[in-house]
Amino acid sequence: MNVVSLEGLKAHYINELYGAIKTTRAVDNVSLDIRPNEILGIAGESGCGKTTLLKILSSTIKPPLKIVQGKAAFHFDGKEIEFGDEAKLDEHRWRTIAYIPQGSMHVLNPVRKIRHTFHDFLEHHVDIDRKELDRRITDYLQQLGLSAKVLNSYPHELSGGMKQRVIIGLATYLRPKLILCDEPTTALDVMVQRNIVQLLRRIQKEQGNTIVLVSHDLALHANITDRIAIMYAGKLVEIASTKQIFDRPLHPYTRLLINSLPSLDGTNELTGLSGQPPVLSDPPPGCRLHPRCPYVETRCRTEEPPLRTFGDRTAACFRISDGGECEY
Amino acid sequence: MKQFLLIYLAPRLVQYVVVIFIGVTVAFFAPRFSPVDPVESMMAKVEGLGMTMDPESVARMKESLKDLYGLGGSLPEQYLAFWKRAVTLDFGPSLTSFPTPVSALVKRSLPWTLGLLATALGISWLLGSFLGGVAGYFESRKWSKFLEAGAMMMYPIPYFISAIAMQILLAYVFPIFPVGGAYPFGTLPEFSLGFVLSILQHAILPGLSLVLIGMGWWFLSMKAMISRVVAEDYVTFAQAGGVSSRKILFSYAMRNAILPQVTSLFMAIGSVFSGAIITEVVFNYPGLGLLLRKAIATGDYSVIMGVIVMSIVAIASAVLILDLIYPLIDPRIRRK
Repeated sequence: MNVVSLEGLKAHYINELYGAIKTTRAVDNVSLDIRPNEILGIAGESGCGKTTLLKILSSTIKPPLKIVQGKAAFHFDGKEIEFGDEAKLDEHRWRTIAYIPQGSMHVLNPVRKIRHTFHDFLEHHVDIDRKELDRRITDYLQQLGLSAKVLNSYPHELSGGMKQRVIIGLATYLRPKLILCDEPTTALDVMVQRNIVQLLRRIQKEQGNTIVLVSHDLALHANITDRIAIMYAGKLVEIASTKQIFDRPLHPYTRLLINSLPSLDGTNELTGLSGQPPVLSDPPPGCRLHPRCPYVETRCRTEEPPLRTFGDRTAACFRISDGGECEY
Repeated sequence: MKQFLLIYLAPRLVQYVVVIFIGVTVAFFAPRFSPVDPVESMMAKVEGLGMTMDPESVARMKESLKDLYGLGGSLPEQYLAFWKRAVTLDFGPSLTSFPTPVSALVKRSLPWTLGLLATALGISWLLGSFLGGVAGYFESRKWSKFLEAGAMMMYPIPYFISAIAMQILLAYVFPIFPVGGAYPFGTLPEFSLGFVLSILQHAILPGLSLVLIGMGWWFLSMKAMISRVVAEDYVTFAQAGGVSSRKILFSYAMRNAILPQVTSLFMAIGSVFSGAIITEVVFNYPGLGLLLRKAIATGDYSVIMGVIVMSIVAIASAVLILDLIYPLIDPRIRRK
């Protein structure tokens, strides 16, 4: 049973200014199944809607963001919980669904000790006295490579990498089924990034969680994910296993993304994508990539390519044959 | 501890002394650059009363006036004498209530001002910050918008208009409260329950006017602050983590938004010591503000100087105390 299923999900930012309504279609008609025990990567340029998708998954939707259409549900222990069912979701928040935000500086309350932050997040879920809880948290943090002193520190006394470890500890202490990560390694240096990635992978192996990882960093995806969903301008354009994405990308956008990465021997010619991603309040008609796509043909400009299945993978492009071969 | 004293306390004490030094120096020089000569204007007043004096007694009177005002001798001598007065808190006798010393006048007025203004400030700060915080957190609720509209309407009304309007409404049209004064006219202050109650009764109307207008400001600034804090990552993170909304409101949002409010509170505490001129004049409240206004109107130089020096010291002290307790409310300061 899939952990999360999204069907034709549309979530828009609806702003009203002097009576004129501006709609930004950040997530537009997205269908996606998230399987148990997998690490699913969501990749794409800035502003493609990947963070919005994660906000929806973590049920932290605030106006002006609104789910306009579509069906979305979690499946935990054989029960289905629809998105927006706040009462039921609150029960699962943090115990079943945890969220690791960007590795930025401001995720932990600056005037609260780490110990109290832990208590705030765990108090509804554990029923043991504070002393015992503190002991267990210390043990757990030590497993993640943090000293016992951390518990009595304020966030500003910790380095960026330590803070991210604390956040990972906070998110995984209850062994949640689903962990949502939003760019967990941005703002950290490469060595720390590597440690954090290894830590996440180790935890996933031990606890068997499902992880959804949003990042624009394809190297990170190659390192850790099992499957990748590529987003462009609010739409999913390709979903396939990580190996398939890197070995044989089907969608032109995926191919261009991969070609923009240097190889280890440095012999490949780097190509990029010209132009800017479209403004999501006024996306182009037809395939949203067509103004930038080097392989564009007439119907791309007017017709929208549907997401088609080719064996165990899907992609949305007219220029892929029914047999799953690129025709460009 | 030693490090704390050296690194944290010492520079702040130095700054404290420097601020007071500059403030008192400006207070000394500013009136001396003004074209108004207090001795001449006093003489004009005396002559205006129709008194005629022989030139010799005019000269003698000028001399003694100069002495009383601290205007005798050269400028550096005056400056040193001024400091001596400031340090010993002896600003000589008041000129309009001669020969009562300034310090006695201030001592008589200060308790009224402190009692009224500090209480009103405390209530308006607590209520305004709390309501602003809650209203800012639940921004989309109807009652929040209603409260904000109320604060926005109250705040821009010039204070003297709202004070007089309240006085007319609550003391004249509906005579619930006395029109003015701090205690019934013609009675002498004594320590009895009845007298304390009548002090409270007299303080309610001016206090209420101060609380309402002050609350509007504290409400709006807290609300603006909290709407910024609510968008911070740590609030979103706590919400995603299912932390109880009461805890998020108090320990996350309000706790962080209150920091600048505390700063403003201490600045306001400092200015309590210069009185609230409009309040005290409108409600005829015998505090420092009324004393200061009378002194300005009658050109009572010594009283003005006394009140100014005291308010310089009070504001500088409030800021020093704020600096010393700030590490307790913001742990980030402790490490610097």
